[in-house]
Amino acid sequence: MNAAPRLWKELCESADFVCYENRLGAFPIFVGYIKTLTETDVLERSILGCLSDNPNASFEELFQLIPVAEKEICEDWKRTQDKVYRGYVAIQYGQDSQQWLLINAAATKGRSVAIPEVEFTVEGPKEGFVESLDTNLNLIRQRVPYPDLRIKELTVGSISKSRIAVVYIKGITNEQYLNTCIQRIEDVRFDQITDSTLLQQMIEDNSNSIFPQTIGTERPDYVAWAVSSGQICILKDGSPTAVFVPVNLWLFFITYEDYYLPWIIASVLRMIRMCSVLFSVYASPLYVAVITYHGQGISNVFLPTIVSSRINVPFPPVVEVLIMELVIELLREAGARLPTKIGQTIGIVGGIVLGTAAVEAALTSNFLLIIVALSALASFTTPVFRMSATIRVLRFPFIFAAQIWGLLGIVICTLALVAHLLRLTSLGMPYLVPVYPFRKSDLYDTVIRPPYSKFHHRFSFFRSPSPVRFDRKKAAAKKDIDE
Amino acid sequence: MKLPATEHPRLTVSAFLVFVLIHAMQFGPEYVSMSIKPIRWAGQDVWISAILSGLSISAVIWLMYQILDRCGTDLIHIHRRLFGRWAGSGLNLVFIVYFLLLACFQLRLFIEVIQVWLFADLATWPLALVLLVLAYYIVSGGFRVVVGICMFSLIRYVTIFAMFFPAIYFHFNNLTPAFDHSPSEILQASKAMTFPYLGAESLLFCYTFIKSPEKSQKWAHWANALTTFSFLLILFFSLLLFKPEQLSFEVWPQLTKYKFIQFPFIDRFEYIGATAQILWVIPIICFCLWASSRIGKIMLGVRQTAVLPFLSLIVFAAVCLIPDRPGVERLQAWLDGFGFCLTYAYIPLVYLVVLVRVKARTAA
Amino acid sequence: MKRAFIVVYLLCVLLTGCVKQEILEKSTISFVGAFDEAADDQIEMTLAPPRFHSGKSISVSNNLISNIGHTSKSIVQIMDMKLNRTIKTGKISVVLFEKAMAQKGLADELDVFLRDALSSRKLFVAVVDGKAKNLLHADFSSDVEKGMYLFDLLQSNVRTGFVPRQNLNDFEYAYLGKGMDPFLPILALRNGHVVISGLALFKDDRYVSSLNEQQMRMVKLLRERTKHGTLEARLDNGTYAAVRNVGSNVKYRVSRDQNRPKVAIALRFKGEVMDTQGFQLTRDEKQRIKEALEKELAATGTALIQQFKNEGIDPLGLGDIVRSKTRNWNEAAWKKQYPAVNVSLKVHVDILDSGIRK
Repeated sequence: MNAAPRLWKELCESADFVCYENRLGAFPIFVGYIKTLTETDVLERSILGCLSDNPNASFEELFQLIPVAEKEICEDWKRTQDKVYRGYVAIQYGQDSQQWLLINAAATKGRSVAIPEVEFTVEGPKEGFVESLDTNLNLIRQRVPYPDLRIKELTVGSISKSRIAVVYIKGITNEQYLNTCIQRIEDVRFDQITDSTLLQQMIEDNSNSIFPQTIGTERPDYVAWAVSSGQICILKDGSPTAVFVPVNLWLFFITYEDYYLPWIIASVLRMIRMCSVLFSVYASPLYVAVITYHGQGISNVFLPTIVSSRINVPFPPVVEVLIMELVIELLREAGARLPTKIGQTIGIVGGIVLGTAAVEAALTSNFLLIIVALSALASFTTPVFRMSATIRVLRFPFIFAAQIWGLLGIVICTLALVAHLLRLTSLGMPYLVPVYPFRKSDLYDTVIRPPYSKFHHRFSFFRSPSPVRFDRKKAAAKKDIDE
Repeated sequence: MKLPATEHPRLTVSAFLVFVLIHAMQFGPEYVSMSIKPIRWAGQDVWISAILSGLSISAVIWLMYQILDRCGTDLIHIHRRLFGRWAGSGLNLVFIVYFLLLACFQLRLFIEVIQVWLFADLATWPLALVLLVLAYYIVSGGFRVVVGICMFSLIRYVTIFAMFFPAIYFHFNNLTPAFDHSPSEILQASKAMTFPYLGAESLLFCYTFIKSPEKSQKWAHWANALTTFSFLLILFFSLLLFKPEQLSFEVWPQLTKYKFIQFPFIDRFEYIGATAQILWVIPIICFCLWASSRIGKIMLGVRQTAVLPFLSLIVFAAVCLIPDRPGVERLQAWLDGFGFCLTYAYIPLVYLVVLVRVKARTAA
Repeated sequence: MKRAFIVVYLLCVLLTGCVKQEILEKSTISFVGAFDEAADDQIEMTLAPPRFHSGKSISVSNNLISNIGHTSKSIVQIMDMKLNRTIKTGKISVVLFEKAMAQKGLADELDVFLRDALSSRKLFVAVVDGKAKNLLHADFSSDVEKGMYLFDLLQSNVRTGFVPRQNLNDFEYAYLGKGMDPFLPILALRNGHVVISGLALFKDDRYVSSLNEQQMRMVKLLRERTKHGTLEARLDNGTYAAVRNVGSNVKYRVSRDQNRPKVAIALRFKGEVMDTQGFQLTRDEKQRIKEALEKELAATGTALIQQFKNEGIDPLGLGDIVRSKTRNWNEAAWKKQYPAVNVSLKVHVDILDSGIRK
């Protein structure tokens, strides 16, 4: 069967397909495109204009003449069809030609580069990724004008045909990680990939874990940093989130603003963030354990305060805690689903009115209210959203364990958690590195953010072929007093 | 007689982690009561015995490395090499039993501590079941995860700070007069300390899992040194805080120390101290299950995951069969005897056999 | 298969692993326990659990409960029948004993607290002059819970006053240790106030005699380093001067004297004159205060030691000090020697300053 009629026939089934026949020249020229995908300006001025100006140009001549950079001659009708669906204009000479001239006239509609909303920082650049892959790659390229920055493009998804770009720096990124990563993306079997977060879940080592094994960010500066540290960055067309792998647990508690602040301040903030994670996970389970089983462990001075705050509460501690945790989650969900302005009102209504009323109605002790509110706050300090969601969910098994066996339950749960973290990997890299397996030289940027003079080596666990960032010997020797 | 038997690099751990593993294996939960017997023998001179024990263990570690480095493989294969298929398998079986009983003892000891200090009405078997499932989850992650748990368990050193709270109750004149005991009493105290010091023999079974094992010997010695130091601290603590007459009334003097801690929020640390015992117990249980299932794997030629549930069930059944304190003590006495023979008689014996074999081979 | 296993596992643990809950506000917690003698060799135990009300952090408890029985744990069992919330004894921080009971020996009763996994080793034990129950009945603390009041009373006097430290652990240490005897503070009710009136001396675990406040100070000075408290020196001309303790230190030196141990105690006391009853402090005056204080301390101390020797008790732990300096020390031999052991006390007082006036 002839390919040309089939191509046009299938395309004509879409209402927005336009087939335009030009009979100015010696033989008919067919111009086909999907009008919702093409830029009218390019189409009319560059393509149709050129056609009517040179009615007698041959196929090859036309190819040369059309003032658009992205164009090709294609002999495969399937590919032509795909391209047309991506906003290309197909030009065919004659009725039965097997050759198509494909010209890119795709309309780029989307929002313009804006301030990152999730990872907003006070210091530092204010550009965030948008939905357009090319814009995003442009943002990265601007920050890494380095010849070895490579971008590999893949297409994933049987329906969505999503364009995926794998960004890395050749010679800095480990080849093995890169191959694994590309392999994982190619192995994805799914029809509709709407966002890179879907891809994130599909390429993770253990998709049953509640711990994320990839980090998504909307900051191009963070991606530039990650790529130059030897990580691999994955972008998807239509998604403002760039994903990078491999990662370890500690990276989830780093906000990129740490690198813009003086190192002591950044380190203190980072430590507060890490402590707040522990607090967020353990505070309410400990409350349950202590009130239910270990009340006699509370000190003499503190005990009356707790007892008198709980004396009229009708629920056992675990029910009380679960109710309060659910209330907080409810407030958060309600706030998240509403427009920003109303969301704030919800916060105030929920936080102040409900809280006070609950204590006055003796439905909860004010002591617990403080604990639950603080641990909710603490869980929001984690910069990566998926991790902060993990932490919020993580405390529920601990609460149940505390209800069954008190402190013992919490400890057993902790050990199970540690065992799980020990077993996790990200692209085959242990999740807890550099603490386990222990790498002393890589500990520098975990709990504290040291001064930049300490960053002379890339993390060895990224297995970079060129591990040295800069030669530290060239740094000036220390001077004596008054020298 | 070298055997090409190091594991795939993906499965090995770096030489440094030998330090973590050996230390975690040596410093087991029996430390809570370890000071009673030696102090009964040697009183304030017990530190000499602790140092002697530490030195002797270092000598044994040296011997073990001599054996392992010469043969280049672990004891399971050496047994077969030296004693033939059947006798070697028999010896391996003895070690399976030893490791299972050790796991059993550790588990029962922990459950007992929980029953006495936290929940008197907690039945033995639910806790044993939960802990064994936890251990199963860890062991099925492989040797690296087992060593990872050992490493994590080192946060136990936070409880060292618990020793400083009773410091105002220390009586330093309990340490004098020095050298007031006869050498035989000091040696008796040393012997009474064998059991807490046991654990270095774990090396014999995980040798092939160490990256560049020849370089790991110094870490094994450091681990032993840290153990000795920790035990010295514990002994001194017991001496300073208690009279020997008081110690004879205590069951777990190292847990009693938590009774002295006071914070604005909490003034009973017993709960935390007793549950923290899990940090001493879990690494040993995991290693024992791992080692015994590995011996089983090599002996029977089956997958380790096939042996592991079976062995866990044996431990579970055995733990439930130990009813009370005397049972735990009998088991401890048995393990003590076995461990003593293992360290001070069996390992030198194997060393001699290996030496003779090598001599014979070079002569031939 | 796997899913079934997990379900069975969770069910097993949840259904059989449950342990009894002790929800905090559903239990009666007492901070103080008092023991008195009762007829037929029984004991009477009194607890003073506070009542909690929501909002206010604490209210003073007047609900005393006491019962008679053979063992304290069985008494608690009987008490539970009177209360809507079961009793938890783990928080008891002060234990009071009637003097008559102390005379019969405290080891049996204290064993309960030493054996209990939940009780503290830092709890204070005290002997009450009179019935311990009556002391708890008195309305001595207006706004603080009684048990905590007593605990703070003892704690602050041990820390900054002249009450030698003796909590449960110290008592057991001195009772079980060789060459030592325990002592306890005595509490008495005077005009509605609880007062630490002196020190009860024990032979083994039996109360034998008591010391007054003056002698108690001396025991404190001879046992511990102190840096709190004020001493009074009586000068020859009949006036008094108060000297604040800036730091005192005591050293024991053991030597042998004709096959018998000889103990030399050196007490160094650094003080600051705080109250001179108006006269100006010249150098001579300072010297006189110093000498008077030295003389007085030495006299009290020597008399005290003599008293201990006569009674055959050793609250200072001299035997233990000698043991730590002697090879092959023997308790029986020491006990025989003790009344005749040469113990000398040397007091050295330094007057450092005198406030901001001369």
